Amino acid sequence: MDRRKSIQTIILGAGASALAFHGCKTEGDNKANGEIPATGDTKYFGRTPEELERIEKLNAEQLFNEHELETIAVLSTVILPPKEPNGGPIEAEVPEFIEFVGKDMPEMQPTLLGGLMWLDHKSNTEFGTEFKSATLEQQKQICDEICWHDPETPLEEQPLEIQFFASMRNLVVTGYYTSKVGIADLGYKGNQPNVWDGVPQEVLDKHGMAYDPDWIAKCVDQSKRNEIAEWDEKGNLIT
Amino acid sequence: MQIKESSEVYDVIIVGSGAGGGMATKQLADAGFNVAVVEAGPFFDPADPKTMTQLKWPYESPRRGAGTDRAFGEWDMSWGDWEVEGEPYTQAEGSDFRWWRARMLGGRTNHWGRISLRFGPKDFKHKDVDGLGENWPISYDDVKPYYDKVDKLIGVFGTNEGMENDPDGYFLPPPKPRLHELFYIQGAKKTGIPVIPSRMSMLTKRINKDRGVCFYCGQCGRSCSVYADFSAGSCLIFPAQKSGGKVRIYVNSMVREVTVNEEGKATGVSYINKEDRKEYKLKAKIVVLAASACSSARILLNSKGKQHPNGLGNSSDVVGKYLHDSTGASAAGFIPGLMNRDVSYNEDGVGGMHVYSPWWGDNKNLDFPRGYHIEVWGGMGQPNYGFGFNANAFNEFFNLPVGGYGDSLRDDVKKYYGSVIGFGGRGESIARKR
Repeated sequence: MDRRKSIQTIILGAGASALAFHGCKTEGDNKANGEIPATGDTKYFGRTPEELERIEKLNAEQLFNEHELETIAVLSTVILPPKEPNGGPIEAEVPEFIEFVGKDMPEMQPTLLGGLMWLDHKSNTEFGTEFKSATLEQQKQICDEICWHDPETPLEEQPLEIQFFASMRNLVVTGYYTSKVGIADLGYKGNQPNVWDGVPQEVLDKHGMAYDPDWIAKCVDQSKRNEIAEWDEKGNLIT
Repeated sequence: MQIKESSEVYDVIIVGSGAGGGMATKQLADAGFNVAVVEAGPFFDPADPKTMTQLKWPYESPRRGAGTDRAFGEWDMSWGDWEVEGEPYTQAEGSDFRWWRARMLGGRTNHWGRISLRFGPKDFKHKDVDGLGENWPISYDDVKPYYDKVDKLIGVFGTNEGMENDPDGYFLPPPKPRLHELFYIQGAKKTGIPVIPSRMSMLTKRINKDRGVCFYCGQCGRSCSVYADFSAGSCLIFPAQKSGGKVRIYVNSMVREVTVNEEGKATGVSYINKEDRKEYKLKAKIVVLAASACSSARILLNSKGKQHPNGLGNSSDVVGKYLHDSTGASAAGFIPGLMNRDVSYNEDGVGGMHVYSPWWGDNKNLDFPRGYHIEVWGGMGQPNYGFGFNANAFNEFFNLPVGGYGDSLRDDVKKYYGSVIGFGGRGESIARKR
C-alpha cells in the first residue's frame, strides 16, 4: 500500500475528516511564459538519484505508529484550527510532513515521541482518556499549560512537554505555510515569471514611502528589456 | 594496473569548470585552441528539467525545502557543500576554515550570490594604504580593460557612481528597490551611510540572443534555466562549444596531479574517473589549474617528483598557505513599519539584494583594517522549511505573550510576514601564512 495514502487513511480515520476541506484551489497558478522550459518532472523535483533514493528509503520506514499519527493529527488542528477557505493542517498534509522530517532529522525523535507519551499520560491522569479522544475543551486545558514558556530560559533547559509543544507548533506552522493551501492563506504571489517594475503606488502610500526620482531614473526601463544592450565609450547605456 | 593514457595531445587542459575554468575555456576555445576541461563533478545544465529546482514549490518535497541534503536548503543548486560525500576534509585543531566544494559543471557559479564587484585601485595596493599584507604586482589600470570586457560578456547590472574605490563599469540598468530596501535607504541616509544600487550579474536587459532576460523569480541560487544569471557552464562553456570551439569535457574526473617531463615541465594531468575508480592520463602543452584555491593547491602539492620534491611550483613553500576567504557577520532587524504587509503583489525581484552599501568607514578611527560592505535582504519571500518558527517572537516588543496556539497564530504569521530586514557585512580578511 502507498505509504502516503495509508497515513491519510489513518488521519482521516481519527475523526479529523470532519474538519477536512476538499477541492481547495490556490490563486496565481503559473502563467505560461514562452521562455520558461518545462518544469514537469515532479518525481524528481530536481533531486539527484542519490537524494531521491534517500527519500524513498525514508518513505519506506515508519516512525510514528497509528495511534501517534492520529494524536499528531488531532493536536495539529488544535494548534492551528482550519479556517475557510484555506483549510488547516490536515489539508496541508502536516502529519505526513512531521512523519517525514522526524525520520529525516532523527535528533527530533526523543522530543516528539516523548511528548506524545506525556500528552496521553496527562490526559489519562486528568480526564481518564487518551489525548486524541478527549474533548476539545480538555485538549485545550492541557495545551494551555505547556504553550507558554519563559523566553529568558533557553528552550532546551525547559521541561520536555514545553519543548515538545514548541517543536510541534513550529512544525505545524511551517508545514501549513509551506503547503499549497497555506501559501494561498498567506497570499504569497511569487514563484512565477513576472516583470518587476517597483512597489505599487498604493503600497508606497500605505507605508509612507516614495521613490527618489534620481534613483528611479537609473533603473531598468522594462519596455526596453528585450533590446540588446549597447554602451557608449564612457559606459553609458544607449539602448 | 596500467594507467590508461590517451594519445591525443590537447593544446590546453583546464582543471575545473567554475568561474576561472569557465572563463579560460571560453577565451582559449574562442581563440582556436583545442581544450580539455576536467571537472570533478557530473555534467550540469540549468535548463535540464530533471535537475532543475527553479520555480519549484516547497510542497513538491516531503521535507518542504529543508537543508538535510543540501546545506543551503534543498532548492540550492550546488551539488556538494562544506561536506562532500567521499571527500574527507579536516581542519587543524582550533581552526575553523570551511571551504564550499561544488562538484558539478560550472562549480560554485551555479549557486553563488552573483555580487559582481570590481577590485578598486586601493584593493590592488592596500599595503601602500595601511601597511598590511602585500601589494599586487599589477594595478587597477592594468586590469580595467578586462573588467570592461567581462561586464559586457557576462552582463552585470549596476550604476556608475564615480566612487574612488568602487569603479564604474559597463552596467545593465538595476531593478527598482523593493519596499524593505526603501526602508533601508531611508535609514542609511539618516545615518550618513552610503547606499547605491547593487552590482550583480543577472540580465535585467538582453545582452545577446543566446541568453534570456531575468523574469524575477528571486531564485538565482537555483541556477537560471534561461541563462539570465551568470553561471560558468551556461554562459561560458556552452557558448564556447556552440560557436564551434574545440572543447572536450571530462566529467566525474578528479585530477590527482600534474604530470611532468624530465625537465620538470607540465605534460598533462592524471585523474581518477569516479565511475570506475581507475586512473587515466591526459596530455597537453599547457595545464591551467582552476580547481578553486583549495583543490588547485592540493593538486600542486600532490605533483611531487624528483624535479619538484616539494610539490609543483612550490620552491617558495607557500602553496596551500595564505588561503583566505571573505569574512563577515550578519544581523537582522524587525521593522514595525513593515508589519501587516499588502500581499497583493509579487516582490521576488532578482535573487538577493537590489541595493547595498559599499564600505564607507575611515580606518584611521577604527580598530580594524579594511572594511565591510553591507548586503541587504528581506521581503515577502517564498515560505520554505523554517518559515513561521517562533511565529510570534516579536510579540515581546509589544509586551504581548510569546507562544500560544489557535487562530491567533494565523494572524501573527501574517502580521509579521515581510517585516524583517537583514544585513550581511562582508569584508576582506588579510591573508596570513597560517
